[in-house]
Amino acid sequence: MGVFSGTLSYARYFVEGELPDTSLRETFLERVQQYATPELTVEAEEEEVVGWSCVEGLLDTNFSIEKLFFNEYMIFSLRTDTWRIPSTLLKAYAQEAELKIMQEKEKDKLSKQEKKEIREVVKQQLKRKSLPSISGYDVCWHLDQNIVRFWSLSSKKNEMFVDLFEKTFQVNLVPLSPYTWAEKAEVAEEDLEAMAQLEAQAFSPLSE
Amino acid sequence: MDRLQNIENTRFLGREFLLWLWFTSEENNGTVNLPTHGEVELFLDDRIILEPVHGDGNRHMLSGSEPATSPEAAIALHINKIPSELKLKLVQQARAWAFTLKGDDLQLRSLRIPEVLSAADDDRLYERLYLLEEIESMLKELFTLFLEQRLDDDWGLRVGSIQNWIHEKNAELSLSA
Repeated sequence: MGVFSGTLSYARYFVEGELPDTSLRETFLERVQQYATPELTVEAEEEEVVGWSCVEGLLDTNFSIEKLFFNEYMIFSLRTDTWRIPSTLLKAYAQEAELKIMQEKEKDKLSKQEKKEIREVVKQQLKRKSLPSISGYDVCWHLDQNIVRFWSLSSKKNEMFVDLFEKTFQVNLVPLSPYTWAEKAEVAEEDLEAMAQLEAQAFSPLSE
Repeated sequence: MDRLQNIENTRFLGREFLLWLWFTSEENNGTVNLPTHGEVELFLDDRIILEPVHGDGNRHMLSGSEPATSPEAAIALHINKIPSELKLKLVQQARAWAFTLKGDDLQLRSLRIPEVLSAADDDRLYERLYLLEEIESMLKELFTLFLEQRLDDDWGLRVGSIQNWIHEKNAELSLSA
């Protein structure tokens, strides 16, 4: 959600680091494709995958120059696919499976290991009957100004985003803050130093 | 001091910036002259959150019509609480933006931009991004103005003006009591 329509709540970052001198679009296309959202299979150990997808189609992970570049902007989405099996459902089906096995094996009790294995099998069966939950968060990179906007203010999603972005593009993302804003506004070096020495001001007459 | 330390040690300036925006919105009818964007008008909207400058203490969450002029706001300022979050409106050349700013990160939340007039999808995208960049640029100029005053030798005079403003808000309370 975000770039084309909907709520405008987003995190801003400044990009620092070397960008390719030549063939920037081709290089970045390759890198985004390399980290496109992988398939989340039933058999996989992980419960969640994260990657990039096309901004105009969340299920589309086949990038092209036209799908990725919009004039001076590079626009795409962070997508997370997560298995969400309700715990009460899993527990109920696992208990049912445990009872069945105990009857078949004529046992009064199952070991911890046996219960764990049953739980895993039941989990996979439930996964086969459902689809992963998918979420998308738009990313907009102004390539001339080197500012990136990410359409989520959740700390967890931002951590995920920064991690994947830096890995994909081999750059650093510096979040907006009073100090970094001053740096990017080209405040003089001596003023930045003075700013770093400031202490919080008390404004109330009571504090004198 | 290293850069990360500088970033963390100056984070408090975000909240001071919010207080400065509030004070500025009530001074000179909220009109500010920006270097690139010219004259803009600032208004406080229907939500303010105030927290102590130092230490832990109660948050004051004020909402409804004109919380900026409410008795609760006056009292909170008087006991050294400053805004950690503000909902604001900014008007420039008959275009209006509304948004929430949190002092700790200065990220734009729930931003409403002026109406996008283009018809074609591509044009709408670029116009939307342009309007977004306009408000970011105006806020950057406001922040730079604030920082110039904050670092100036005359900052003490500015603090005095803000203190007088807080005092007047509380004096109005006593008169109406």
